[in-house]
Amino acid sequence: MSRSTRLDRVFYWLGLIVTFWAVLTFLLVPMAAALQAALFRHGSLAMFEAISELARSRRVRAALWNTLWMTAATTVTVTIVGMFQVAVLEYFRVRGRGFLKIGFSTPLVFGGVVAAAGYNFTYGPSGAITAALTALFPLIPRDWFVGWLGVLFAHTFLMTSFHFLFLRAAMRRVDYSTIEAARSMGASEATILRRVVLPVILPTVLAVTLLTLITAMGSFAAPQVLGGPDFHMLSQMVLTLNGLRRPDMAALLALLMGLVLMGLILLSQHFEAKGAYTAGAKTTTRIQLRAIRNPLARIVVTALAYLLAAVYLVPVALIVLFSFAPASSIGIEVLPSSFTLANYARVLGGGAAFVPFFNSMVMSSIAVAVGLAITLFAVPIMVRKRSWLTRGLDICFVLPWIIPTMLLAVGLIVAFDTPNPLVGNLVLLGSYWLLPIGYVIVSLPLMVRFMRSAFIGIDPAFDEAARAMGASGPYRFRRVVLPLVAPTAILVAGMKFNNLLAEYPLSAFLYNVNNKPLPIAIVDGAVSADPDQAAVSLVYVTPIMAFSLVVILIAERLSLGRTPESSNL
Amino acid sequence: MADSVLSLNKLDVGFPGMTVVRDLNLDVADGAFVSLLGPSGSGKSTVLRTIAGLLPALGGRVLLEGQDITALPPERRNVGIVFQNYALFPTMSAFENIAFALRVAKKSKAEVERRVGEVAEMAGISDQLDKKPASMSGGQQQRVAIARALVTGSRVLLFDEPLSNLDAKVRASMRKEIKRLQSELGFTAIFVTHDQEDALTMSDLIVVLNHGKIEQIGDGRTLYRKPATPFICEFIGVSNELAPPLATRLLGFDVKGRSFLRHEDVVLGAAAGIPARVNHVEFLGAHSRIDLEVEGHGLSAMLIGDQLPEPGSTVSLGIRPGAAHVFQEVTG
Repeated sequence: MSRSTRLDRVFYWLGLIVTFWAVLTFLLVPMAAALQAALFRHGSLAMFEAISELARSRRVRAALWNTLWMTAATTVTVTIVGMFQVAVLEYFRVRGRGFLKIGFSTPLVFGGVVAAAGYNFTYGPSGAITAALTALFPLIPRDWFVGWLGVLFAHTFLMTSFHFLFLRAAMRRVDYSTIEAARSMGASEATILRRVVLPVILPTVLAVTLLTLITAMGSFAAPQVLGGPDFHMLSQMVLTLNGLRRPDMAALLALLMGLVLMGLILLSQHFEAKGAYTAGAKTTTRIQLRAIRNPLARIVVTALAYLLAAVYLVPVALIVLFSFAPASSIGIEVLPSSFTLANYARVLGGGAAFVPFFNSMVMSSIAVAVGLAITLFAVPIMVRKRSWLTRGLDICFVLPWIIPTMLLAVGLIVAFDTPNPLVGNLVLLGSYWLLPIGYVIVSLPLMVRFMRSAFIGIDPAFDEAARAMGASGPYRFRRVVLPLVAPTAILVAGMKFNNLLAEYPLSAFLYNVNNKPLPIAIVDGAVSADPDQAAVSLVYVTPIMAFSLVVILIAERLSLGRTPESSNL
Repeated sequence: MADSVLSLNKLDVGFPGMTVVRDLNLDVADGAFVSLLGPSGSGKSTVLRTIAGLLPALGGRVLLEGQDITALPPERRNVGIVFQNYALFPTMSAFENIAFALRVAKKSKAEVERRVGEVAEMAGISDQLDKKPASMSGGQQQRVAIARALVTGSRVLLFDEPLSNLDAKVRASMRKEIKRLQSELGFTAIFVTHDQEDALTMSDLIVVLNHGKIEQIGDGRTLYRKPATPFICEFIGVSNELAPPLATRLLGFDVKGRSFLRHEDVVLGAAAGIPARVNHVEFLGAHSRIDLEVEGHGLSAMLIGDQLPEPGSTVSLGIRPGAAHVFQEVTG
């Protein structure tokens, strides 16, 4: 064995040990700690007592009821809006499809805490729409939007991205020749939709509905910002309980929610797999848009489509416009009458407003870099060597996707609120590092999933060719494999960086005065009555949206252009 | 053999616990073009990968220019490999693709440039070196792949079904290109293919493999005209298998076993033939196929020209003397 290969082996084993330590310390131990806190008290099983204690709390009962009916209502409204979008974009011929597509795609760049703040800014007490409405109808209270209405409104329009992404794709996979065949046999439009199109997209519809259900149930930022003082959902109760120094109760509630969510996720995966099966790989004729014959129906559908696009685009436009407006015009003017860069100067000028921005940039960068390093090291090993060890690692990496973030957050808190030998007897709670560590953990599932398909997509002949020309393992990885997966790595890093800039649940549990991140500052600004705060908040939100847009455009380009797989003849 | 550049000596190839090809012996002359031909699953790629060193030999020896290379890793064998779809690294320019092995061997910058320049000149791609594979035509990619395999001075090039994903027209021009480069540059080629046309048009020698056994080794003409086994009759060209009674009747001696007759060796309108009914006439352009029925047995003939019999008519059927291939059953 030469010296360089011996060095390679040392690095290999060192990397494996570090990876296993990280998984054990920051994923498995916190999960165990959360379970322990939720189920045991003073060393004995106390789950049922704790549940009855939870059930006695009127606030918890109210939150449970709110969550249940809000989830049910959201599922219905989102399905209606989402199906309508898909029909307008992929089935019927409606004028201005490109414009509508841009409108309907906004939830992709405008989601979570960013969107909640944006809706509050548009429709909330100091919002431009509220200003316009109260000017026209003085009887409307300024807080008309605050409460369940705002939450349901935000859910309805923001949770359609699953429909936009997956159901549209399913619709495009419908083989048009089957529709033509049905028509040639005399089927009516309604029959074709019901008997030919719907069965093909049904598994995807079910999967997408379940995803909506999951998202609505775990909704956190929307009720936090838009729910006001009286409308609370379960996620908020977990945070409240944790704030009341009852991490055991918080863990239990998060666990109970988690069990329900996990069941739903598994169910949605089942439907997703079925959907992929239905699609098949055969060459199909692309679906052709159908003209709506009835002129009245056509006008109604077109008008609704444009109204919907307006609902999507107005908040985004107002945010960008008002981020350039003087703070004094917020809540007073419907459209800003003058423009200034003062808000941007305040955020980027390095003062107090700059700190959350800076914190989030640093922590997200660290988390993405560490996540990418772990992924690039571990995924090729998991792809190449199948053993119980790598399979276990694989499962661990995907766990944070199935486990609700709140449960993980509570787990991290209870695992590291006392000196922990796994991290050299440090108390991580209250330090700078617990939040970025959490960011890494929640970033891993997506990174592993993307990088795995990138590595699997590499033609093994590349590796063999390099080997036949004498290249060693690390050399092949650096010169041949890495450049092939680099586009995916860059893309996934960008996506994750962007997500982390606006990550709310984990941030809400784990931040402290030393590392207050952007999403917390955005929520603070959104619920604050101070127009200066609101103006700063708008400046926070605008670059996040711009960055998401860039990432999505790059993603689209990459999947159209050079992917590692499409390099053949 | 003194002038053989590559010898396989009682070679067993396969995977641990599963021998795919057993006891393979082959001598390849310097500058020869040898095809390993066989249907999928016949073991031809496994043989090639064992020669390349990508798979360890299970037994026997591989000799390159008299030297035993059986135990050497692929990079020390000095055989070049042209992969299926060429396996050009898509992230590197043509220059970097060709230079790869030299860079691995840490050659000086000047030497890398000189040797890449030389081999690119020979392959006729000097003006393409800055391009990425994706922006090159299939023919140019093939030249880069061959140049990459030759740059370290390999005299033997292994081709692993490089033409398998191409359509018929491109395939034909790629064949010509490989053959031209081979005769100009004088390397020895081992070419794996499942396509008999590839093998017949390019090879000096064809090794036909089936289910891990060598069926026959010979040049294209020999395989076609003097097939050694029933498999060769069926795999190369199109043949009728004659039922023993019909064979006996047509050949005039007692046939026990299998016998074959190529379509073009069936003669219609023979002077002393047996009557055959025309069932179906299929016009195929340059030639036509006639499906016949003779004494209850089906038989096909190939005719050139436009003078075709009518379906339903009766013709007199004979065979070209000596054209039938008979594999008599050895009894007792």
